Amino acid sequence: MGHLSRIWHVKFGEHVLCSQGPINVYSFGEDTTRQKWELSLDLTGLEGPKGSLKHCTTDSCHSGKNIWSAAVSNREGQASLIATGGADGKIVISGGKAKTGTDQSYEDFDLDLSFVDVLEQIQKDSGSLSINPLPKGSFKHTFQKYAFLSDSRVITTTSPGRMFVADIQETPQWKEVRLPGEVVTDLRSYNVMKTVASETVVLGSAAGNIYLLQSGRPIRPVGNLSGKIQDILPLVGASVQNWQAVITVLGADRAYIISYNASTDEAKVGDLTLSLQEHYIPTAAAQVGSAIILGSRVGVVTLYPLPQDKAGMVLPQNWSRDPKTKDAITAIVALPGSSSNFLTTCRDGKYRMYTIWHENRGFDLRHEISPPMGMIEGAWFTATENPELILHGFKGKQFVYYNATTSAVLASLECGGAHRSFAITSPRTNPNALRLIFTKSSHLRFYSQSTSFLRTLKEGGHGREIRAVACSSSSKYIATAAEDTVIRIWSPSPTGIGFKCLATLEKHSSGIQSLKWQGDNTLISCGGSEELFIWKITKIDSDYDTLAIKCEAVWNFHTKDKDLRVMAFDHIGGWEHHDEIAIALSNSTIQTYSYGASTREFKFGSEATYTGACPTQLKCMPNGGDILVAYTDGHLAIWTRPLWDPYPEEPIPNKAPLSIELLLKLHQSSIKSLDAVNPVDGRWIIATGGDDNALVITDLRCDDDTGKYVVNGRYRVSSAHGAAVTGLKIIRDDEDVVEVVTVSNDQRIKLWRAEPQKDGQGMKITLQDNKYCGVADAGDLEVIESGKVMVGGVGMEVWEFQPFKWL
Amino acid sequence: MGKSSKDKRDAYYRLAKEQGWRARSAFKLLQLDEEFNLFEDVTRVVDLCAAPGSWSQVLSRVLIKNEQFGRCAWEDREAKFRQRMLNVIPSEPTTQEESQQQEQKDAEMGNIPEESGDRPDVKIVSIDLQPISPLPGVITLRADITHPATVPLLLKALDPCYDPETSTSQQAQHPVDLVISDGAPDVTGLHDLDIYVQSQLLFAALNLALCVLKPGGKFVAKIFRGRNVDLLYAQLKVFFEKVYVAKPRSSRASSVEAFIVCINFQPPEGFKASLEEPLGVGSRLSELQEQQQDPISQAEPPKAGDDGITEVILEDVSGSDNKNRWIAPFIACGDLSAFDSDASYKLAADHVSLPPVQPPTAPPYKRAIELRRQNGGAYGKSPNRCTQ
Repeated sequence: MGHLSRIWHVKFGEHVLCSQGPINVYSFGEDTTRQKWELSLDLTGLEGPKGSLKHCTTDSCHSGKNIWSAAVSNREGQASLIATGGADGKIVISGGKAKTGTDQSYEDFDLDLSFVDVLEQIQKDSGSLSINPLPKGSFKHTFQKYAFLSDSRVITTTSPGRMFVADIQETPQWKEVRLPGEVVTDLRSYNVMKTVASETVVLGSAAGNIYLLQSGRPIRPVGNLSGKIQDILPLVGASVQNWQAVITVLGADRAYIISYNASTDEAKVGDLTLSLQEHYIPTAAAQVGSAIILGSRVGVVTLYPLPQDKAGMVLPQNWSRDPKTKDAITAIVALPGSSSNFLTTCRDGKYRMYTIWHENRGFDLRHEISPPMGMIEGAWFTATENPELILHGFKGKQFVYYNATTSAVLASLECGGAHRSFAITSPRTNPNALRLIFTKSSHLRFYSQSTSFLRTLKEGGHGREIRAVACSSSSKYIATAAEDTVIRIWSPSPTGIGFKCLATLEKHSSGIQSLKWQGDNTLISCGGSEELFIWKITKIDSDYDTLAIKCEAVWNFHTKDKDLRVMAFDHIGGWEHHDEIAIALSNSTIQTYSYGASTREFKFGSEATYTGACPTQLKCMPNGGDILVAYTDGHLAIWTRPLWDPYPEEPIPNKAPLSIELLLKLHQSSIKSLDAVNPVDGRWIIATGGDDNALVITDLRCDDDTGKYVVNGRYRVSSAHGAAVTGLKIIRDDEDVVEVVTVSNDQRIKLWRAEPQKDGQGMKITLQDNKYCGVADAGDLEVIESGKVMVGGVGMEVWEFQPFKWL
Repeated sequence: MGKSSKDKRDAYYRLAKEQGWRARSAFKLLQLDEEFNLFEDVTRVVDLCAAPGSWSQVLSRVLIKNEQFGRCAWEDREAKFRQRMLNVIPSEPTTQEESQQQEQKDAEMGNIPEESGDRPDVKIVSIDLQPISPLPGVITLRADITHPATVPLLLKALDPCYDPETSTSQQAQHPVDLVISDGAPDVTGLHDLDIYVQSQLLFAALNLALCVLKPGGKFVAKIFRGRNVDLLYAQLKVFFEKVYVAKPRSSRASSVEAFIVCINFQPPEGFKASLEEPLGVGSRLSELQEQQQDPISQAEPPKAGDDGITEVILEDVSGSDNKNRWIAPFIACGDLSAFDSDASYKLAADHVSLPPVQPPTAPPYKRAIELRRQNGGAYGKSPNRCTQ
């Protein structure tokens, strides 16, 4: 309760006379939450006015830190509209429902009914206590299971075995479902109920009986399976008319398929079965192309070929278990417009996408992401032109209904926590509307919303300062990484203005330091808490337009306390079976590793320690093997491995020791930015920006005879900026002209031209351009396409410059 | 972050506790002094925004107790050894004997109180809105440095014979040699706001300094190097012969913090300081800048040392307007053998994390902590978690 850190705003809500009830008060804080309070005032007391404040709700709708701006409308008699703007640049409006005007729009209500409340309503309408025989003996009167027969009809089973149905006309109108006495007895105390198709639910009992209930028709038994029915899993993606479902029986070595034939109006149970491995408990099922996919209680995903015959047992063809999860798969859905890609949701809070190989020979994990939910209970795609992924699940004590495509929380409801009976429905083309029915402290709670309580007016970006910007090889993607521990992938917006955020990668636990692409599909990131991740970023062929993102490898050579920062890294080179990378750690060491292309494992190569000063930048010279490292003490070291073998036959790490080949003092204090080019063979131009406000250009060459580096000169512009030079990029590297762009904490972006003098002595440096940059606390600079650089800091900005052209 | 983790992450945090400083910022002042000889011939000092008092503590120990703090107070021996090995710094002593002598000399430099002790002529006044725990020889005032009423309070503290009734001027009769300020706002994270508030704090310190500083005196204050900092540099240059922007090694490179070191106070002709009419609002300062002949010349080039880097004479063809803008020369303080405030250090196996020397006496969040404790602690399990 209350804010976790500083409160920036407090505002009054809808205007009421304080004698007529509590006054709504809203507070907004550094912790990105908006909180609602009720202020009750008593002005009549003899000892002077008294007041009390009651906490109502906490909502978070911004990422990173800080809600900077807030406005609350307080027109009399109208629900308040609350607008907030965060450090993430996002503007969100909440409160005050706006009718969307679509046909499928739902009503707005939030009801809390006890068993007695429902009974009283039924009695009032029908005039009788019960249409079914009342159970003998005393039974706990509680609601058990819920299922939506349709958008406007919901059904609930109860512990006495009675069944109620509600038709929704503004509010739910309850009736009792007429059931034969033996069915009431059979469903008493334990039952399973699931919606399997439109206007159709299937029920199962402890005695193994299966019942079919269709709207407007009496319940009918369709079969018996010897054993307690554990669950009924609708086979998502199968035919809508001739639907199928998977029925699981406690302790059985197989799962049973129930198939409905619409033309004969017959449901066949158990003719087809799926063979299960030992102790395998299916929790989700779907048909994807020519395969049935099952998910288990411990996170195993199993593929069965679609049965060709009408009866018999099907054996699993392939299975895979994510090594990191032991939690239940809660839903499986095929990606829209695809017969080989499917999505799973899991109670571990992640959703994953897989691609099935040709002829069902296996399947691959392509995508793995943790949305801001603790447990995901289900997923569906909207039936719109551009399908969107909608998830629901639990986060703490909240039920969360979330649009994963737009990263918007569509509903968030205090429900008491996970592990409860619930049912949900939503119009297929309007995910903002929602109906949710669940049990809370033995009451039935029925919630319906016509539209999302949050509307995003403007999409946001990072919630804290961007520290690294990296552009993929073909300029297809731009990745940004920030202090908010998140990586975002962007592409130029189709409108030509701004950028579209394609994905958000959340795995880092502290601020990210550096980010680099290898081609267009591999991204490497590093940061605090000794984290370095290799990400695979690909495109899945389906109507759902999204990037598939997977963390392929985690560098795990950690120290005991895991508290060093990985400051920087670079790719040394790639070979047939492995790659080599160099990393710089905050304890003044650099290390090299080999990374196996197929093993996806790091192997330690060599290590070297500098004086104790913290490394800030690391860049590998493309000559192979030599590593440039910049430090907080203003020095630049070139580390080399003399025994280096450029063509190793075995994919083994290079163990050759590292030594300093050249050490140069370039700045008075920390080197904050670095870039290096070699305009001609054997010649190097290194540009560095420092905390000392200076820009230094270092001219190096490689001596032909000795193979050693020789310094032609170091050239300094002392007061290049008014503050630390935190971003730098060489944008032109001709033999006789080098051009450099710099950004600084002084919020200036500058273009410099350095021309080595003909006699080999000296360097002429001119300031070509000097502009005010809107990005505070700039952290990085990157060329995103010819003639364009992006500055990342508090926000992002793109600058165009005239690229040099040969006449 | 656990205490031990902070000890590793921040060498100066650990050193401050080990050496009895109230805050790690003590090292910033010591390292600034090492570079600029701030305390040379100084007897009268005003410390603004002084709480919790680590800078006053430095003044008390250096000026009153006559203690000396050599580099060894913050020297990383292992780093120095490695620097010599890697030729980062020239290895002066060649023989082992010489090296031992050097070590001995270094050791002697540190923390040795001289016998003379008493310095009756020394006057140190520290001001803050927050109470400051007493320090030997330091007069502490709880006052607002932006309020005009603070000036007579301060003058009275400096000279007990000062009578605000008879004195018409807010100028000190016996001005001070040095005004220092390590004040910073409780930063919000909104960069423009933080930079603005810090510059207002700097102006407040400057306005007070202008009232009490003697010609030739020095002024040192914290500055955030952010947007338009070059305007501030140019404005300070109106009053001082030399203005530097300095970064001690104990200040993190990753922070926007730096220190402005202003040397040789030279008030413009006819200038009269007053908190009734402070600089930083209105057009008074820009008029002073207009009057100044050559605002940006500084006779002495930056003391970057003979490091073999060619200083480029820059040609500016950008056509940008640099009126009233000037970038003060940057100087890094504390030599390379100092601990690196950005690096992670390995602690000895038997390392014991010490409690802070002086926990905040009256932080604004004190009541919040008390309430939280009453309510069973919430997430503030230990009071240390809530301190800064």
